[in-house]
Amino acid sequence: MPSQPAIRVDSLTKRFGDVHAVDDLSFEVREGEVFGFLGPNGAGKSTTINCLLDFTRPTSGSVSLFGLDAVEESVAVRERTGSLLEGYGVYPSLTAREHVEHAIAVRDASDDPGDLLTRVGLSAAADRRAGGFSKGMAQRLAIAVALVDDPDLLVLDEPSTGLDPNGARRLQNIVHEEADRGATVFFSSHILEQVEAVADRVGILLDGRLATVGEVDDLRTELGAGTTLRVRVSTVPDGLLGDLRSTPGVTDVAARDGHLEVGCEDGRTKLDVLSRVDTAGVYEDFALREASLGDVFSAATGAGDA
Amino acid sequence: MTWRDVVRRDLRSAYRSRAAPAVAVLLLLASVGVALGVVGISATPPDNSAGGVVLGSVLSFVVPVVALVGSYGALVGERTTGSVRFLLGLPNSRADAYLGKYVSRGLVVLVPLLVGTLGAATVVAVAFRDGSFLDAMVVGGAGVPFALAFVGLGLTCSAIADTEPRAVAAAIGAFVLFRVGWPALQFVLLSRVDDQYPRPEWYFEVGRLNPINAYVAVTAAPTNVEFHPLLTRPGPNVDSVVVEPWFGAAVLLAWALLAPVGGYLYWRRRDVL
Repeated sequence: MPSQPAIRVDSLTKRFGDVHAVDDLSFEVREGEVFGFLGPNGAGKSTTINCLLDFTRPTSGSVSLFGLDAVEESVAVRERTGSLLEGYGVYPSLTAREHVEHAIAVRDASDDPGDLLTRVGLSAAADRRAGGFSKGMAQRLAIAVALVDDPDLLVLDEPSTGLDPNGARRLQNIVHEEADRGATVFFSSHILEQVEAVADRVGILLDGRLATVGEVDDLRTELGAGTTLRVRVSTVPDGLLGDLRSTPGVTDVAARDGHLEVGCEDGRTKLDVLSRVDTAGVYEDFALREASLGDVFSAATGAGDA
Repeated sequence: MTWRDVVRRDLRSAYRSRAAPAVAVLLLLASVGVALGVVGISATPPDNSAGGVVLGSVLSFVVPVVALVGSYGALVGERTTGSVRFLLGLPNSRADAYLGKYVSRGLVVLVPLLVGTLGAATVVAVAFRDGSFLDAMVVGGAGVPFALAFVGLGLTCSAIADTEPRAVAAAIGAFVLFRVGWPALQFVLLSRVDDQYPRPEWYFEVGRLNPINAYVAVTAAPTNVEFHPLLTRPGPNVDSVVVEPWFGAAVLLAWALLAPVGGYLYWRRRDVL
């Protein structure tokens, strides 16, 4: 591999008593990419992230960031990493500006606190004490702190928690801007649409193990969550569903609300399906629906294909 | 090394949350307030020796309490409120975080303690009979390692405990151990001896290792009072170095150095989340 991966997790296991929070997990995040780390609550996402930043020590296996060991060289890792972690707490008696100033002092950076607070939309509350902040405001403050000194890696654990739609959009823009600057972004969430909007690649974590990892498009194909053809029909004649199911390339057929929903692997299959419906004399109209990351996620987590 | 930034940030929080001002008021009352009170209730100027006895006795109780109260939440509090993600998300090492907390919470106690004992020593020098400023300042000087020992113990409780209630319980346990448990152990051991007077040498050897006892012994040393409410006077049978004032001072220094170490050794390796 030409360049050092930004994150390398190698056979990471973390046990809390008898519970395997993370179980023999391995993956890499390339430098400069936006990696979406998906999984239901309790899958082990936060534990993995806590191991990246040395809040939690691995039971076995190793984690390195930019070639630096996450435990032995944690300070050097955190010098290059900005983080927003789930359950982040502010210092109630300090103002937003003082939080950012402190981060700038610790990092020996030269950022302007006002600029960072403006970037996250918190300039109006810059000199208010953070104890009175809403969850969303505290989250914005945490993002501002994470952006101090243009980190090479941004680790965002469920960053949109508590953000209103404006805040979520702003966060999305910040992730894009940081990625354009060349930063690597590691973004965990259980909200699929947000990951889909920003991620180059995603990994899906289930019960402490990586269920799948890859580019969103590849995952759609790999997990059979391809394009769904939605055909409006006048009626559903006997035999049509069986006929469609036996068509090569069709992955799934369902009839609901006067429509047929047909999962198709490729364009040839779609054409075949449409002509068979037409031959049956019930065709009215059609539409296409790309599988969302949600479908991929459902397929990977076995949550059903409905 | 970013511990200075941690100190600055932590002190600012401690003063704004009013915890540090409360500690300061208590320590000023227990030092200069007590010295003025002694003058106020005495018909004639009190004797110089009363300064060391009263101030040493009061502070031997108040300093451990405020030091433990001021430090038990320092680390576990960051974990339970989630601000540890801020503290250790930044490039602060575990050592920087721990040292920064130790220095900050130490200053919260030491600054008012020294200001208060300076004021108290001035009162002693001016208003006590044969009042000696320096004799009274021994109370403040010995108070430095004494306070740091209990700040260190509180910090150790804070580093090891998983929840604030457990840290409180551990801090209360530490206070009860030194204030009650240790003397109780001396008396239990003593009850197994036929001839209890004069107290045997080992009685002092066990007692002086207790930081509270060592502090009281050091503060009482300059005036060498006949009767001290918290101190047993060694008889002529005792010829041990432990009853020398310098030994008490050495015990205080040792506690000040060792008390925070146990917590740090655990803290640097533990899961903080």
